[in-house]
Amino acid sequence: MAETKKVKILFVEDENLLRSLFSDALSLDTEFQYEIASVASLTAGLKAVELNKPDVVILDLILPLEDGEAIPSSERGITFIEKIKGDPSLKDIPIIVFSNLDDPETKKRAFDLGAESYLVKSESLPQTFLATIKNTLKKSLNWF
Amino acid sequence: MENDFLRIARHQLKGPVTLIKGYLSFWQSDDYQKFSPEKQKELINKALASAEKLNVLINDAFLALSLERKENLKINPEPIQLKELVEAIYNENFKTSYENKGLYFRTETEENPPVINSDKYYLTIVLRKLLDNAEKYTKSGGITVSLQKENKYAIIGIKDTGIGLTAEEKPLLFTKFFRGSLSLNIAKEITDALSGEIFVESAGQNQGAKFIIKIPLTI
Repeated sequence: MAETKKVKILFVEDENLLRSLFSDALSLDTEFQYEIASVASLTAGLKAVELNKPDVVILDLILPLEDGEAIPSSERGITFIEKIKGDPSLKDIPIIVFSNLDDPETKKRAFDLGAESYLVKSESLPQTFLATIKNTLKKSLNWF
Repeated sequence: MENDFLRIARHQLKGPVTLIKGYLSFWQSDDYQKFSPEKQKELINKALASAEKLNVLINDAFLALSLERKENLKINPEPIQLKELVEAIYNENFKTSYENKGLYFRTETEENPPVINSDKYYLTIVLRKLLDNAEKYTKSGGITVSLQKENKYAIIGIKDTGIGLTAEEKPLLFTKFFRGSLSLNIAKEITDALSGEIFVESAGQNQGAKFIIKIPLTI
């Protein structure tokens, strides 16, 4: 896989502008070629992971409410991590949380459940975002 | 309630800040040179649009707080020709964006359009919020503003052909951060302060919505 240097990224994020900014940042990288897919909800995200087996998932924690749901909003992202990391066939897919939530409890929960990395949106420049993705990928795929 | 308000407002204000910082960082690191000239222009335009979004969010947050506390709300009545006001607001703030989306804009009025004595500054904010809201939730078709007199009130109707409202959404419509925005809450608070009423009619999802504002002919 290292030879092709192609990576599949799944964005689970409902803010279009933010997604497009960080996709632009990825397009600057000369080392890897990124194939970016994006979904805006928890259900669509889970389905996309199963179908496409991305190399890395970028996950917003606060996702739109879905039919019949009443749980607090950041729980949807946490549920996503729980489900992916609890599934033996999917648990090795690294998850980078990308959220506006910056409280230690949320971060701890995300890491405890198995998230590989945690970026706070307002503190992340496109360059740090790109570097985190590359480091996470290299670690998870043992490319280097 | 205020803690909730501050928490959500803080969260919302960060959105455009993240974008502005992100776009500018391309220039700081010279990465912008790797983009085509067209793409560079697109990125700068997006940064500017994010700054404008931030501007609106800041104004709305402070206005909503001050309306809640009834601070600095000085009503200065003056004669207002409603049809002229609505058309001026549309031409100055919405014409371009409505036309870009392919939406029509119509006014319907009696032979003698209502003239009222009210606060132009605040009434303008209400109308701008409602025209903005109508545009945001209308993909095709358009918006019709009707103006009429009924007893001691002017009735302003703003009818769109947009996504409408579900029965569950209706009671929440004028609460703070409905669908993430303060606009309708601000419109309601100001209408109350102008001794008026605001309500909505919608047959349901994808059935459009009609906002109705009743403003006293003389405050």
